[in-house]
This record gives sequence, C-alpha cells and structure tokens, in this order.
Amino acid sequence: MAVAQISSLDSFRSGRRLAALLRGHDDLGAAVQAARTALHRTDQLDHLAAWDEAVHELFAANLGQAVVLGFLHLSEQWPAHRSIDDLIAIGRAARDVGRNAGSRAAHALLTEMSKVLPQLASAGELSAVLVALGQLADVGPESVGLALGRLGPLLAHAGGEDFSAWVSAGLRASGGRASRRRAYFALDDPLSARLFAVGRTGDDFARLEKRLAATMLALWNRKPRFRKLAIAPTPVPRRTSLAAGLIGLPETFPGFEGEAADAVYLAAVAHAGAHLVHSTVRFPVGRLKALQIALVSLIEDARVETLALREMPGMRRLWLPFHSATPSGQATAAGLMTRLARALIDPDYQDPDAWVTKGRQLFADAAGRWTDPAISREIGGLLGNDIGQMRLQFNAKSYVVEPAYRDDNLALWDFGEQPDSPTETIELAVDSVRIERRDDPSSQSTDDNAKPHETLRAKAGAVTLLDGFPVATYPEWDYAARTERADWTTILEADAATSAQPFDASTDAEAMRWITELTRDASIGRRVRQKGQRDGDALDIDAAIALTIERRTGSISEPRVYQRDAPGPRDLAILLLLDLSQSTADRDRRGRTVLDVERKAAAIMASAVDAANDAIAVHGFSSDGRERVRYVRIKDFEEPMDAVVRARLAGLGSSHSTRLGAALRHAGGYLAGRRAFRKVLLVLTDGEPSDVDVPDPQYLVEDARRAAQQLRRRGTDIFAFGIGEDRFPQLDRIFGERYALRVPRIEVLPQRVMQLYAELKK
Amino acid sequence: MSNPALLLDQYRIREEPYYRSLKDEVELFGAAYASRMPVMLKGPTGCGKTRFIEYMAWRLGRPLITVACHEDMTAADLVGRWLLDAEGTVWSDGPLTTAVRLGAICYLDEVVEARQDTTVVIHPLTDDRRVLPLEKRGELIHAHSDFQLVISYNPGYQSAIKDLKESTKQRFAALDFGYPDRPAETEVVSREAGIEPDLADLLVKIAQHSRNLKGQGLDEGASTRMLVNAGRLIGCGISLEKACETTIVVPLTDDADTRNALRDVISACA
Repeated sequence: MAVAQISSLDSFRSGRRLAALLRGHDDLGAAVQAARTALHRTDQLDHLAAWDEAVHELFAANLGQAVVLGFLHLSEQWPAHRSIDDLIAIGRAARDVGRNAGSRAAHALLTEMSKVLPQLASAGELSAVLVALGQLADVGPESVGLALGRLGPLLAHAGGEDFSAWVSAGLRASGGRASRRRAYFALDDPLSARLFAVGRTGDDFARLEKRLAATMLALWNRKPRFRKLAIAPTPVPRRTSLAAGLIGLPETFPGFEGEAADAVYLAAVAHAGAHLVHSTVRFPVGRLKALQIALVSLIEDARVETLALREMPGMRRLWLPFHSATPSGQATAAGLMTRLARALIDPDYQDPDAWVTKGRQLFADAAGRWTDPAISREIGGLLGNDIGQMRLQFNAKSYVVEPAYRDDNLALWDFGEQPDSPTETIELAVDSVRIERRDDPSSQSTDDNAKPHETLRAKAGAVTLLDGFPVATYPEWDYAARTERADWTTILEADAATSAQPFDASTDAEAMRWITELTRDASIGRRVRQKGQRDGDALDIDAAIALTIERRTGSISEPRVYQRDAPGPRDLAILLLLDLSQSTADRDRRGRTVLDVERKAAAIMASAVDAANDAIAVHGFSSDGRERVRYVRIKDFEEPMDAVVRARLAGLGSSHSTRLGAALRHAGGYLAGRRAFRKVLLVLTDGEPSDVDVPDPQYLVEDARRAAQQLRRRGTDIFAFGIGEDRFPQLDRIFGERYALRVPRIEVLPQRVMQLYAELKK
Repeated sequence: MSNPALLLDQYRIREEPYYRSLKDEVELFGAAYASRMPVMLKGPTGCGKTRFIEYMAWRLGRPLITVACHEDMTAADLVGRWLLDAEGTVWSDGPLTTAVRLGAICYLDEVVEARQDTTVVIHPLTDDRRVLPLEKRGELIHAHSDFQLVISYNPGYQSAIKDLKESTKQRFAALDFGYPDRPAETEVVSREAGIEPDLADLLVKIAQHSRNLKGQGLDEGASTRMLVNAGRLIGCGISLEKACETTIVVPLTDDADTRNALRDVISACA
C-alpha cells in the first residue's frame, strides 16, 4: 500500500513537471490530461512517472506537435490489460526513429503501431519490431516508411520476429546501398518477397509435407516419396495419385481449408498407405469397361481400408467424415457408387437400395478372404454387370473417385500393351498421370510477371561479380627463378550476388542431425567443470581436503577449493574457401555439379558450426589472370547463417580459373584477424591450380605450396578436399599428405567435411 | 556402518522384482556370473536393462550397488577418497570399492556418459587379475569372490565420437536387449501399469508405430517404460489421448510435425 502511495506521489510530481513544461501548448496540455486520465484507469500508477518522462522526451525531440499528439492519442486508447511499459517503448522508438528518419517516419510508426498492436501480443514481439525499426532508421532512414507500410500485411500471417528477420536480412543483403535497400523494402526484390511470404499459406501440401511423411512412416513403416501435383484447370478435381512408386498429392484440395485441409491430407495419406501395404497385385485391365474398372477399384479401396481398420480402428474417424452420401442421393451410377463406398466402411449407415445392399452383402460374405485382392475383382465385376442391367449411365470422363481423400486408383491397374483398350481408360490414365515436377526453376519463372526484371537483376549481379574492387595485392613465388615476385597478384572483392531460388531445404535438417550427433560429444556445447578455482559455485571436495591436510601439516597454500561450470572452449575459427572456377560447373553422371555439393557442404557446415558456437566464414574465389583474382565473401565470421547467406550461396556461379596461392594468402589474412585458439582454413576444390596466363602447371602448384606453408607457420591449419574422381596428384604437394583429403564420390562431401569438423573439435 | 554385513544389507533386494524374460538372457547371465565374467547390457532406453539386473541380483542373492554415470564423474567418485574428521584424514570407500571389497554386483549405468579416463579404473577388475588398485591409499584390493561388474549402455547414444574404448569393450560379455515382441510387451505393460491387457496391447501398438520413426524425426521410439507410465495415468482416470500426450508425444520430441505424426498414430490406433 505504502509503495502505491509513494509511486502515486511520484507520478503526481512528474505530472506537474510535465504540465509546467507544456505551458503555452494548450492543445497538447489537454491531450496529456486526457491520456493521463485514461492511463490512470489501467491501474498501473507506478508506471505513470516513466510515461510522463517519455512524453517529455518526445516533446523535447522537436519532432513537431503531430508526433506528440499521435503518441498521446495512442496512450488514450491504450488497452487496460497491456503494460504501460510497452506504450513507453513505443514512445521511445518513435523518438529514436524520428531523430534518424524524420518526424514523418515517427508519426507513421505511431499510426501503424496503433493498428498492429493486437497482433503483437507479447512484449517480446513488440520489442523485436521496434528494435528492427530502430536499426533500419539508423542505417537506412529512407526505407523506414516503406518498411512500416509492410508491417501490417506481414503481421497478418507472421510474427514480430519474422518482421525483424525480414528487416535485418534487407539491411545486410543490400550492402549499404540506398537504392538496393529501397527496392528490397518495396518488396521489389525476390529475396525480400520470399522472406516476406514466410508463414503465408496457400500451398497446403508444402505446409503439411513433413508431418505427412512422418505420419506415413509411423503408420505404415513405409518411407514415402511425395510429389506435389499442380491443380489442373479441368473441371474434374485432382485426386491423390500413386503412380510410379510416388505418392502424388494435390497442392491443395479445393474446398478444404485450415483444419479441414489437414484432415483430408491425413486421410489421403492413410488411405495411400493402406494401398501400399495391402494392394499387393495389379489387376490386368484386359477388356474391362471404365465402369468395371471404377467398381473394382472401389471394392479394393474398401478392402484395404477394412484391413487397415482391423489393425488401427481409429482410422475410421479419419475417413468417415468424408463419406457424406445419403440414401436420398441420386440414383445415378456415380451416386450409387458413393453410397456403396460409404456402406462398405460405415457400419451404421442404412441404405435401402438393393444394389448397395447386394454390394454390402457380397463384401461381408467375403470376410474370410479379405486379404485376397482377387475378391475386389470378383465383387466389382458382379456389381458392374448389375449396373449395366439397370441401364444407368456412367460417364467416364466426368467420373472422379469419391470421397476426396481416395486416390485415383490407377496404380491398381496393369494397362499392359493393349492396343485396343477402351479409350476412356486411357484418357483417365493420362489425365491423372500428368505429374508436374517440383522445384523446376523454368516452370517457376513462367508465371512470374516480373521476369524482365529478374534477368536484369541477374545481369547486374554478374556485372558486380565481374568487376569487384581491388582490395589487396600479394606476392607470388616463382619456383623456377626461386624468387618471390612482389605485388604480383591482385585480389578483386565483390559483393556476393544473391539468388531468390529457394535453397535445398534438406540442408537444414541434415545440419541439425549433425549437430545433435556432435553435441553428444563432450566437447561441443557442453560446459566444462573447472576444478581448483579461487571462487565458484560449489566446493571442490578433493581440493578442499587437500588444502585442509596441507594446513594441518603446517604448510600454507592458496585456497583454491571451488569448482565452477564454464562454457566449453569456443576455440575454432574456420574459413571455408570454395573453388568457383569454371570446372565446378561440370556435371557428374547423375547431373550434379561440384558447385552444387560445395554449396550444400558449405550450408550444412555453416549451420552446424554456427550452432556449435564456433566462428565460421564462407568465402569463394576464381581467377582470370594475375590481375583479376576474384574473391567473394558469402558469409563473414560475424554474420549469422540465415536466409541472406543461403541466397548468396544459391547465387554462386562458376567461372574462370583457380589461382589458389593468391586466394590462400587473402583468406589467411581474414583468419589472422580472428582471435581463436585454433584457426582452420578449409579449401574445397575440384582441380589443381591453373590460370590463363600461366603455361607451366607446376608454377602455381609451387606458389600455392609456399602460401600454404607460410600460413601454417603462422599457426593456421589448412586442410583441402579434392572433390571428384581425379587423383589430384599435386594436392599432397601443396597441402601435405595428411592435410589433402580426397572425396571421389561428390555426394559425400558434406559428410566428410563434418567429420573433419568433429575431429577438429576433439 | 563399519560392519560390512550391515553395509551390504542396504544394497540387498528383498522382494522379487517383476521381470519377464524374453529369450535366454537369465540363463546366460547366470552362466556369466558363475565365472564372474563382466557383463555389458546393451539396448535402447526404457527396455528393461536396469530391471533385469535387479532381478538377477535378487535371483543370485547378491547385493546390487548401482552407480549412475555422468560426464563429471571422476575416478574418485567410483573408488573413494580421503575425508577429514577430528582425528585427521579417513579414507572413505567409493561404491565400486565397496562392491569389490564386500562382494556385491556393481552396476555402472550408462557407462559411456562417464569420461573415458574414469572408465579405465575398471580395467584391472575386468581381466583375470580381479584387483582394484587404490593409488591414493597405496592399497591393492583383491576382489571378493562374489564380486561382479556389470555395465549398461545405450547404443542409440553411440556415435563415431562417443563410444567405449575398444580396450574397455572387449573385456565384457554382452547381452543385447531390445523391446519385447508384442505379446510379451503387452504382458509387461499390463502387469506393471495394472491395466487390462487390451489397453496394454493398444499402447504397445502405438509404441511399435512410433518406433518406425526412429532415425526419421525421433532418436528412439516410445519405450516400454513410457507405456507403463501412460498406462498408470490411464489407470488414474486420465483419457488415453491425454495420457499418451503427456507420457509419449511431449517427452519424445519438440518438433511440431513429428508430434503431430505421433498424435495421428495414437488416434489411428485407438
């Protein structure tokens, strides 16, 4: 109680001070009174003094009356349940942003905040947004307005942290240039657009894929391979398709959204799994009519579901909601079939129709033989004849398997080499086997109306890569003349171009797997117990006893009797140097390039090393004569491994030659600037050093060898991976036998690199 | 506790622990004990390794001294150290030394967790010397004729980096434990959790499906121990879904997709 009185007294005093300050600004004074009265009601009196202070600061920042009024207005509307601290934080942010970006930006911030406040429910999210805006105002004041305009739309589908990530990526990706920054924050930049779209749904398949894969594996012990099927512009809705060992799932099931979408995908995957496990033979199509094919498929669906339900009865809850047929439905062939489908799986369903009843009876009679796929053929055939006699129409072109979770059943059929098979069947087949390839870059850009822009940007990227600024010159060792030629090579550094192409998502999972594996080792991420310390959080029993014994025997020694936990050694600084020469674009038999695996290895290693709290940088090089040794910094030591770095990795290209020595010296310079117990330079290359202006192959080898030796003498460990099937006879010469590692099968490169890291951490 | 008989008494297992034998492991262990051969129990967590050794100790009538190994464990924590009293220094035996002196079964649980230099102290005990040198005390203990050393480790935690030293590994006879087959596991869960066999069978089914995810989102599937926990909650009137959520889904993983997959399994099986 006493505290409340004191704080209320405080707020009374500060209120008087504020009133005195605002004397002469009558409208402001009135607004302050109104806001104060409103805040009084929130019952957070002890915060009022700080609020007065914030108003005072905002006023003193000289941003104009509109800004102060904006804040007062926000204060007046402040929701009672929210801490006034958040309000004060907004006021301070407005002041800081205003200082750097002008009063219009500050005013815009206050207006936007009042709109998005409900979406930023936690103080953490709010402060993430405010801090990001503060940084932006500091570095790129011209873009604050643009970013503020995007805040609302982004928060509609993502959180404050995502906004913060989007902003900080923009600041780094635009390399300090206002024009690029403006393009980024106007969303006129593919990387920006991609980051901005985080959390936005629309592609249910992509959202659910990982979960469905895990569910499939858990339920059926089959590791599924999914394919996304694009929605075809036909009136017939897409169904799941099990063609060719793949489970094709539509990117959305039209009409199913949110939880209903989850349910239909789940039901579809459970049904597909039932087929994979229980549909063991394929039926020959022979001379069967489309109707018979559809009916046999329907019985087979019911058969595999029934078998699945014997083991996992809960699946009925998954499937039943989609069976909505009722006895009052149309007596068309398709209508009767949906009723039969329901009758076979829903024991409580009543249907007076004779044909449905017959189907049910036939199926029930076959209970002893449910494990035999032949019954589907038999029962389906019988029921098909009946439909024929009932003279019901069946339109194969408009027929679609119902309910929606069931697959098109084409995988059940062996179409063989039947020249005279019914045309409808083939049409049916062709339509559903039309699987669109995912991750196909060409198909992606076709619907991108910003295409001309895209190519322009790519060109611009190429130009910056070509140019670059000369940043250093290095000597080169002429082994024939046994002399060092001073300032012989020139390093050109350029910004790493980014590419909006999505980066292989599997790298994250793989990196995580490595991290879990590595952290099980004592050395990574664990804390080290230091014994015999002067102070600490627990007694070191052994040291205490030893000390007491020494005391009793009369000798005096230091009282180091504590132990404490300390973070494990953060002792590695790794620079990963990628060879970007033309030959890294060569494809192996399976169509992968060395650059692809370098990229992947770099991504995995950078994520893993980052997570293990070591410092890692990723740089790349290529050369076009001694005056143009190009060097790109894809990730610096301080940068986090994030979307920007991934976009840069994706944007790497192969060109020109490999002047290794100069690149080694330059990379060594970056490592020399680090403070670390162990510095490691890791070179990934697919060939021996070469360059256009050097006819003698041995010359660059000897130079690189000398560069490596010099670095080693200065305490940097150098390892090199020779990627590809070459024997790399010179690699040993350059790096030393124990430090030159060969990776003939390029796909294992990430694994090898991580193994080396694990070794280094020991 | 200077009286050895009294000291040992506290480690004695008085009542028969429930253990359902799976194969011939009881017979094998009995034979190994007969020649005091060191034994290593391998198997995933929660499959019954500790229960087995308790059962065997009871069956053989030997006291059981269990040490849970951890990364900060030093050799002194195992063999003992000098302590002080009013008179001066006194030696206090560690659990391993007690077992060696008095003839108990010493069980080092999750031995890979201990640092490799710590595990080396067991070497002289595990070959035909059967001695334990107490360096700090200048004493060499010849193991009591009833002493036996048993260690456990979970191959799931094993990686290229963290493993037993070859020189340690080769001293042990090894019994491989896995999860029991469905009827046996059902029996164990039903009996341990005190629930109907049908319900136990359902839990086992869920666990078997979850084990499909091993290495694909889960490090291990649901263990028998988890099922017993789930069964006990159900026995207290908690619904199956909630019990499984609490004892299986949430403990196993933090990954949202994998959790959902587990929930899908539970709802599909129930």
